[in-house]
Amino acid sequence: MGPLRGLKVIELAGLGPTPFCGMLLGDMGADVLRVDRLAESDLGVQFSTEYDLRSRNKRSIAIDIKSSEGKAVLMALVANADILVEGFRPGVAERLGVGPEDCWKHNRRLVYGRATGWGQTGPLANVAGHDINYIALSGALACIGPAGAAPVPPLNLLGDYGGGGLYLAFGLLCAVHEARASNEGQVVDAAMLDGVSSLMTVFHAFEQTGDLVPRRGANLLDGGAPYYGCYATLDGKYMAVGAIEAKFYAILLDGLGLDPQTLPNRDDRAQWPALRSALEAVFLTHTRADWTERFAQTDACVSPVLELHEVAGHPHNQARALLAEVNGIRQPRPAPRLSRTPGQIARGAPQRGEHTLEVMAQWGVAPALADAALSTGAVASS
Amino acid sequence: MKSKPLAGIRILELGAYISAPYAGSLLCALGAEVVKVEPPQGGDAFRRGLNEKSPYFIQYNAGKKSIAVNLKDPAGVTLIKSLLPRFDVVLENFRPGKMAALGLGADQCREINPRLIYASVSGFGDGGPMRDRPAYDSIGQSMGGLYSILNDEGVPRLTGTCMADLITAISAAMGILAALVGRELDPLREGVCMETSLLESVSLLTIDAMTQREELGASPTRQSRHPQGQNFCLKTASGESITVHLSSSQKFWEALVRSLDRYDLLENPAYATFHQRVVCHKNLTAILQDEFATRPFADLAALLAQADVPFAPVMDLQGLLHDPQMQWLGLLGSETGNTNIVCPPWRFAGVRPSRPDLPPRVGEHTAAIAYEVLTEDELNALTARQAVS
Repeated sequence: MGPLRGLKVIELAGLGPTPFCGMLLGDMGADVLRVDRLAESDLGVQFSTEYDLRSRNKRSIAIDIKSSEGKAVLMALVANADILVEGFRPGVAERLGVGPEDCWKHNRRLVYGRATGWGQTGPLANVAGHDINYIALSGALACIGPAGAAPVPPLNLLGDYGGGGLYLAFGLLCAVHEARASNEGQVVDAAMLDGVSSLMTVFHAFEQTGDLVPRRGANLLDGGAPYYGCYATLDGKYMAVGAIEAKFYAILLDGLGLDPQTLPNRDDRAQWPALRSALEAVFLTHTRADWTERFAQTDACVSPVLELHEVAGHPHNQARALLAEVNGIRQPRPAPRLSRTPGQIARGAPQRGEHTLEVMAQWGVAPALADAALSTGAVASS
Repeated sequence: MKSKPLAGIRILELGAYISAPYAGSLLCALGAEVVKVEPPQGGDAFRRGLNEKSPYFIQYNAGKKSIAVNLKDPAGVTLIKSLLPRFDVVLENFRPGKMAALGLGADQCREINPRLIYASVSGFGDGGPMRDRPAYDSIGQSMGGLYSILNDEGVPRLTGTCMADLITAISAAMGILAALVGRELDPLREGVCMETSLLESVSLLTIDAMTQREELGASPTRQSRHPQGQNFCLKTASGESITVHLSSSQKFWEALVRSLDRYDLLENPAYATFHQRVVCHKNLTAILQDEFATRPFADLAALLAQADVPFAPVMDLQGLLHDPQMQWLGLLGSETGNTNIVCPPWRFAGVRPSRPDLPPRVGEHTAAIAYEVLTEDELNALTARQAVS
């Protein structure tokens, strides 16, 4: 049983941060209920449920929250919940009658999580956007990418997941902790922009101390430093090198068979291109597998850059069972690992409305209301 | 605020007189926000037509809020239901079945708010042959056995205060606190229905007599416990009385007789052991009464204190008000110095929970509380049909 057992979470189905946040909470044992819309006839792309990994450990209820019965069902669920998360544009939840004030009439302890890109306020609050837009405004995107070329979006890891879903989950649990003392819920305004900006904390310091050159690919951690970056190998694959400390750098050179006396000073930034060329030439002489074996169990801070399909097979990942296989589908295990009450994958993703009846019975929706909502089509069961 | 540990807890009290309101009052002094639901006409019957001026009403309701809601109007019941999600505890002392008939029974309320603790106080419990009988304090005292154990055999009398109501309220407060702690510890954070009654709660006061009944093989009465307690209540030469309680202690027995210069009693084999003194309790009472009758209260008090004998004056409540020990404890007195207000008997980190001395007027907080769940138009509509006032 995960550490969040007993925590009841309502996730109004959305994109990006909210389903990821719901997965994090569900992985740790929270009872996450995804509120889906009713099945729509004009659905564009049918999403394959079994590969909807972010919806594992969740149940689904399908509600038309614009109908009065549907709203009444949602509010009965709210009365039972610790947390509600939504990812609408600001003001939409209020217009639907499911905003924080509406919910607090039914449960004053409810923590109301709001995931957006820009936040609930400000001139951009109601403007559309995606991960790349938010990380652009945080300054993070400008720092990522090769020298002399355009910035590169690091997938949607930074905005949707790191700065969005994770910060949302953190904020929700902070507010739940506080609500247990105060008996009052509050709004968690989790803007991806805020989260990514928080992730950039250290770089703001570097920038002000002059330790961050305002060019991509020219710094310690952005691929500028020859001892912190990726090198191609004989077989067209890559090795990742992170030998920042002098003692680790010495081990790196030893493994590469290079004499430090013959190389440029690594602390002289002007010499970095020359040093990089020297390392590139050596890495190209052997395959990734050769280098992996050469550096295995050393402190050179050298690792093979694995493709996603190779991850499960790596001996370390195998030993730690990094990936799980559930119903034949490979997926990351819940993280982090708690010693006494670890998270687990208890169930796969639900079909839309799969648990409508079960949840209405278990979450205290009055039988008369449940019947009315079913007969009027305000809720649907699949 | 260490002396207000329940700050943040909200209690909806649908109760009258003492058995529920005193429970609410204790929890209120501990920091809970207690909102009393009262009938619009006159409010809690304990106001006795004096609104916020009744001294008894003040004692048990100072610091609470009041909303006036007509529970005979379905719209009034609907308002209460819509408030339930905003409260932690419902505390009621209607007759069994009445709340359920209104649509506000434990199951009905806990369906709306599963985290709700529903505390129900009745005369005899929600079942059994006496379920539907009306009950006030004396009925609880009499039925619970207090009138037999507090009186001499064959001389039934009323007692001097409303022990059944008070102990029921204390017991209800204890049950509510346990349910609140239990809810915090429950992973699902579910509330519970907690029930108690006058008849159940009086057992907190009769438990020792019940134990003695088994030992005696008969029902104990007022004097049954005094021999084994080595209790004496003795009149002094100046008119005041003193209580002495020696228990089984040899040390206190010897200290008492030495303080009275009755060394002969120490040497008398009839009184040598505790068990002998239990048998001779009646004789001893007479001997000690003779001694006390020769000395004024002040001399005896000094002697007994010097000898470290457990004793106390037989205090009346006027005397208690001015007693230096009571003054050190600071038990009496509201935040504004009204000495009629009794504060709760605990200190947290050395600080006693304080109490204000003003109770609410009937419906004083109706609008403020109703606005938590109603719009102005909705409240106006309820007021117009006299569902609230």
